[in-house]
Amino acid sequence: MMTALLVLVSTVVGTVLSSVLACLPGLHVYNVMGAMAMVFFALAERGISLPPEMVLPFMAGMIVGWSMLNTIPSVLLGAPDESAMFTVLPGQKYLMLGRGYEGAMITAVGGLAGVYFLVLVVGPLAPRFLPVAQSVLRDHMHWILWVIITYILMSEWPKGGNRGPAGWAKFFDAWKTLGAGLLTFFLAGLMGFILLYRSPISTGVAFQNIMPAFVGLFAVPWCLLNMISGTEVPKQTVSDSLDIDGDIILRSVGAGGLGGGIAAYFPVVTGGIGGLLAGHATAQRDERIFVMSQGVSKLVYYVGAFMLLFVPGLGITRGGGAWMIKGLYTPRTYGDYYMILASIAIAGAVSFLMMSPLSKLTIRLIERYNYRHVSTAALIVILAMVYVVTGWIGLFIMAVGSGIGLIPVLFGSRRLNCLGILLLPIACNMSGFGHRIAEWLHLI
Amino acid sequence: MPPTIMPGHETQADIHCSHCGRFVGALTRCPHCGARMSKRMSLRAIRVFAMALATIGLGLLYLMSTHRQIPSIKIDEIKPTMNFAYVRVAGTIQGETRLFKQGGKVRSLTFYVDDGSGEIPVTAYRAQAEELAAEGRIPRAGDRVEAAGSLSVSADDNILMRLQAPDQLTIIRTDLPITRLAEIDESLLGESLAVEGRILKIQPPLPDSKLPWTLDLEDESGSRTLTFWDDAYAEIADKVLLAPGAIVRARVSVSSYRGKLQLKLGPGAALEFPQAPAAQFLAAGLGVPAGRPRKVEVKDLRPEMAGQQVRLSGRVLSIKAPAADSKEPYEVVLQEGDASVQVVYWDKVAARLTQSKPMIGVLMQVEGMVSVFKDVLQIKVNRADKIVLLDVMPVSEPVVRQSQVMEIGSIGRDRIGSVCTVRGKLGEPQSIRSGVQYSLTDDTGSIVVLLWDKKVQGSNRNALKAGMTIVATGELVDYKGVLELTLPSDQALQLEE
Repeated sequence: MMTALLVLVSTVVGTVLSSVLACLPGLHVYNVMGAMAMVFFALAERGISLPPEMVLPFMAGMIVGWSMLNTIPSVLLGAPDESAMFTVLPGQKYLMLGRGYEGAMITAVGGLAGVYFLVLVVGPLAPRFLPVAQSVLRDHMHWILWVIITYILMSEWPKGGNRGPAGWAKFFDAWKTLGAGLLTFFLAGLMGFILLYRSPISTGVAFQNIMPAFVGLFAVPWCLLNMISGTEVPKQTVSDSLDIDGDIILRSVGAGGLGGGIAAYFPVVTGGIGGLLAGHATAQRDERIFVMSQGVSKLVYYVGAFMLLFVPGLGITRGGGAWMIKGLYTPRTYGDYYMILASIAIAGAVSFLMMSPLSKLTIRLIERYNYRHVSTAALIVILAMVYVVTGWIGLFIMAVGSGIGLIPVLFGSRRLNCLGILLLPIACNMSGFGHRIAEWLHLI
Repeated sequence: MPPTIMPGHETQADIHCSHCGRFVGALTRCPHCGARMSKRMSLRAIRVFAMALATIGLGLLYLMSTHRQIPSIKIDEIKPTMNFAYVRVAGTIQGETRLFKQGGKVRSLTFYVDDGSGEIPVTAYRAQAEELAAEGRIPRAGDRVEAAGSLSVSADDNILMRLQAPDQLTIIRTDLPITRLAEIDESLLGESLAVEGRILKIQPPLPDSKLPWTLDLEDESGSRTLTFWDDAYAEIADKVLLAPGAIVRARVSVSSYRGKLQLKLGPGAALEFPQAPAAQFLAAGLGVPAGRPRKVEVKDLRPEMAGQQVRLSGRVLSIKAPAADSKEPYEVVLQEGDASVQVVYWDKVAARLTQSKPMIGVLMQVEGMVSVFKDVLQIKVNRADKIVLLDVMPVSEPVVRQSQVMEIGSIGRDRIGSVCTVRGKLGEPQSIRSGVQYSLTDDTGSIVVLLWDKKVQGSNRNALKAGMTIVATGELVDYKGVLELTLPSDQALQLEE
């Protein structure tokens, strides 16, 4: 009984904490979890080890709360992480029409549906089917990854070159965004090779090797852009109802569950990529489905990847959260699995209930304070976190990442290309020639 | 005069002079009053700035990383926060390297490094493991090594180093001191050590059993039993020397089985013959106490020797299986130099020849009684363990013999149990449990060619592709009514295109 209470309290505390932190634009839950993990490791070194019934539900609550509530900055502050890339435009449309609250709540409904999908559909089926799927797919992951990379690069559509006389100028205009996308992918890939094989980050915090680069690639460019843009946010209205129905929810769960599921299951594939693949596969045109399915996809990606660590008999680790937990605890039993499912369900309910008050609070905040000032404050928090964890070298890596991350933002190509930082080196490694490239680059 | 405001430019303050209010357009200084104009920053400039930051920054990061030494650490310094760290450790190899094979290929290998402060398993996967194995750079017990790779640290102190590049493993070979057999006791359980001794007896595993090979060794202090598995046997380089009387040196680990101490050989490469020529001279045959049957050369056999027990060896020149339901024996012709002799054995022996089934071209040793039947000198063998394949993978004499190629259509059920050589075009591979099978087709018909993972490993198998013409030699077997050619080794394959 006491254990159940401990699980419940830890889940709620983790959820509430991450829900509040999720409202800060650009701050990623994995950064916070990384800092928490360092605290746990430090406590363990001093002989204070916290029980798994406290740590695991707390972390589960953190991930669920952030996945649900991060919609607020995505929609209301326009500073999403890369997995929310599709919510930016439709979400901003809601914001610019004064319906930001509604946009955020529709995405949150998607998140809630994602929790139902994970707990009631994936939860019972995963221990039975996923180990079989894994044994079949294990040897095929490398080429699947290359197919995904090819699709990402080839499915980007030129945004210029459709006006004016034919010639080099028109050609370059057409290739400007595509070229910027390719450049971003390969620069990020090169950075990934450097960081994976010869990271200058101190070995003592090597588990956060990629963190400064990710912050630079995704969080900083958006904060900077918000700071230099002159966008005026119109007055927001808060409605008591949402323009959705059961059909929209089901279709959103289909598209988002597929995208998030792909991202959660395949290594290195993130929510943004899963969303892209599922979006193209299901071709849902309704903007409400688009927004809601991203809520589903994001939650299924982050929480599903975390959950896979606990699926009995599966033995795979996906996503930064699971990697951090693996350093703290090795799940072994169905008891762990049921505990995590319970935590996810409880955290899903708590975070959804927090969605409305926190959205209203954020709207009040952006109406009262300048949109740019909020972004500036967020940027300062992010810089401080990178410095505290990784020091000056981390800030330098973050600055380089920011340069690469700004390219797609300024040239109008997909920010998804920044994921070359993981996709390229990992795909090369899984295909067995990553070390050859690293040798050629004199990294090893 | 009121300022001219163009449609659509109502909100663009920076195209009007902030001092006199008149239109200045893109100019940076007002042409009317000379005031300096502050302009919004061009997006193009920010783009250039971003590209420059990315490129220069990445270049600097690259230089910084490549000019930085991989940090060397002590194993007991590894903490959970060091997961993914790329570090270097130096120490001594504990135990023998474990090789994990699949489909005849090395999939991974693991060895343990002890630097005095602790022990860490170092693992190389796929390409790296294959490269190390191909180069013969497998660390052995007692070797000094320096390895660099990425750490994987999970809960419960589960630490592993992944070797990312074969070049980042430096090995300084060290020979372990020889431990006398009598000095091996319970206190050495789990330890790796080197032993040297003379082979007293070799016991191959019984057909269809899952038992290991056992080798009784003795030195001047005492005797011990050494065990190893079939896969280690396949890796022993000089199998021809593996015979009673031969001196061997082996790196082994001490283990206990049913309360009895035994020495476990790791990979086959851990067994060496320090006095190779002498050992060859002394070789008397597997499972045979030295000195009992008389060793003779084939050319020395005479009809007057009928009734004598002899031991001889030679390459298999031909094999003739008896027709179904006949009482005739199997007839194998052994050739040694220019001389040859017929070896005969019956079904009860043939049925037990799992490990030692004769194949054309292999070097075989037999022990039996000299007899004369219809004026032909024969060696009669009445026990399966008296037939031993000394060299199942002859390098100098490939198993495949082009001169014995037969048409696939001519192969009937009457040849079941005999060795056939065929040439044809390969069909698509079909994976089966523990192996792969192809259909082989020539102008007269087709037959299934079966390659077991355990038996057929090597470059020929790896190079097989559908549509390729090959020559294959193997034993004809009947599997659920289908005739299949089972290949004994990689040398039983010859690729023609």
